[in-house]
Amino acid sequence: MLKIQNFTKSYSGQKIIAVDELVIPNGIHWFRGGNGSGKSSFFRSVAGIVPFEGQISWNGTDQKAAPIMYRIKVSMSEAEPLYPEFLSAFDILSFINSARQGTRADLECLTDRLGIPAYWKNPCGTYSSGMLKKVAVISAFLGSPELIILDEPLITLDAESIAVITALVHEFHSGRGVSFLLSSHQDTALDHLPLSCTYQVENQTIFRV
Amino acid sequence: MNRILYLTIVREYYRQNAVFIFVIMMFAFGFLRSTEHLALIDQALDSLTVLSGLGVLWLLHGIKVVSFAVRSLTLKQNEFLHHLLAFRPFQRLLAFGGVMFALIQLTFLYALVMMVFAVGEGDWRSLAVIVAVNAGIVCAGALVLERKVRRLNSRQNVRRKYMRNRLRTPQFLFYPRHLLSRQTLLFFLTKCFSAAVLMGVCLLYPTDDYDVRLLSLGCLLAALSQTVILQHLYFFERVHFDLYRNLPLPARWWFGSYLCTIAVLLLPEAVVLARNFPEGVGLGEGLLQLFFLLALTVSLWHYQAYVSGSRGTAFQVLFFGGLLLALLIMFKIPGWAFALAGMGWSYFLLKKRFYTVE
Repeated sequence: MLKIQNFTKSYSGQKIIAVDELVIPNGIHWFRGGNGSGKSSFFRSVAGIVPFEGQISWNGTDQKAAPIMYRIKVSMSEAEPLYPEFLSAFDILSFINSARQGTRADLECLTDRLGIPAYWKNPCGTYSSGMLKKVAVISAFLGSPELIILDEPLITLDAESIAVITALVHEFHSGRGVSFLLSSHQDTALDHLPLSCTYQVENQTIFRV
Repeated sequence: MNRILYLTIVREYYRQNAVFIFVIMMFAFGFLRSTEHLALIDQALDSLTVLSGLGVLWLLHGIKVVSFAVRSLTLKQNEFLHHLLAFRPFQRLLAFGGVMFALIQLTFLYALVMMVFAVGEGDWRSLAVIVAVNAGIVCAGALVLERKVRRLNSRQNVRRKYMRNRLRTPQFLFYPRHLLSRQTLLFFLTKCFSAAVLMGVCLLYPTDDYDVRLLSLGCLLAALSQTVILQHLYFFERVHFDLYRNLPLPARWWFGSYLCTIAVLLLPEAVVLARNFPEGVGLGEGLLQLFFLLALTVSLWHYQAYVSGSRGTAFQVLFFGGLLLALLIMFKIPGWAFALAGMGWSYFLLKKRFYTVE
């Protein structure tokens, strides 16, 4: 369960999003909200990528008190990854996999599902936006996360890849008990997933729909 | 089109190179007084050789700004610039000329002063040379940008350049590879400067009764000259690897990684020191000086990453910190003490602020 208390995220003194108290149970959760509503800032805060005021904990592990343990359990894929052109997906995924203490077999198995090995030793500068997106999404599945945050996981992907991603989410949730926070503007693509709750990000706060 | 180019290339260049420009200004106007500048200008107007030397410096600066502009055209976030192809070639060339002119202001303003003196002295030959060099840089730069914008197929270019090795790049080499592939000139110029400083102190050492303090001062200057490279490391991580802070790696791992990255970046200095190290100074002292250089650079990086951040206040360290350290070195405070204190302070900063810096 994700517990958020007295949370505020501001940039240069300007409040972007604030939540007094929010408890998100295990499951697959969909976050909706217009552009600039603060979804990504919220996700980045939960993932520990940007600092914030307040407390966030996952299953009792506080992000600030136990930063390493928390990050073993919570991983994130960003909406618009911007990897250096000269590095290959192999370089990046291998690094993330070793940081997350994942096995080589898991890495190969996951990347195979999306056909990444066909191009992963080429530099990122040669990838299309869809190929990049697959790399970013799969990076969040590496290791043994208990909560995976996928910010706009389906943009720029073709129908076949969308089907693989939704199948992976389904498998990780039902097979390993992994929870997901998803944001997507493609409503129909999430129809096949057993969504637990939907949250609306609006007026600088988050509420359950 | 002019405004778009100004915002994406010109303004970005001056933003990213604020420290570089500051360092150049510091060297140009901090070490030389106005009378010495006047003497230099007089000499340049009298001697074609001196004027050619200045021309080479302007040309080097021209290559630096053209490289930056070309790189900006190929960046993924600037893909909208591909629409420049919709404009007429002549319009584009004029706009690129404007961009080049705005980018070379650092050298052009100096050239302008020289032109005023040349007109005053009626030295039309020197005036023609100065105008020709600057106009040549602007025109050549505009043509390079025009050629680039006509062949904006970065995928093929990157593919051609990529070394197809099957080895994986370890994380600590991500930034050195970035420097070599995207900031080659910056890397080359920085290394030339620091190597020249170190070689200078090594050659100066046997000429008088100097002690290791001279070598330490050289290492201090060499470390401070890495400021711009370290500022780029900060931008590199913010742009490409914000995700680092989502990875479950302890502070000691990141510290080791940064230590390795900076050690790799300082390899040229280590080679220069090893090849020119003065006779009579022991191996232990040589290793100590290398450790001192490494520790200073590591401290500078942690200051820039976790204290000054994107505010670009690193120059305060450059000035006051550098000055203070130089004084302490002169007062014979041992280098190893600085090195250990710097390493400890850096680790403390990293541990305390890795996740909290915005």
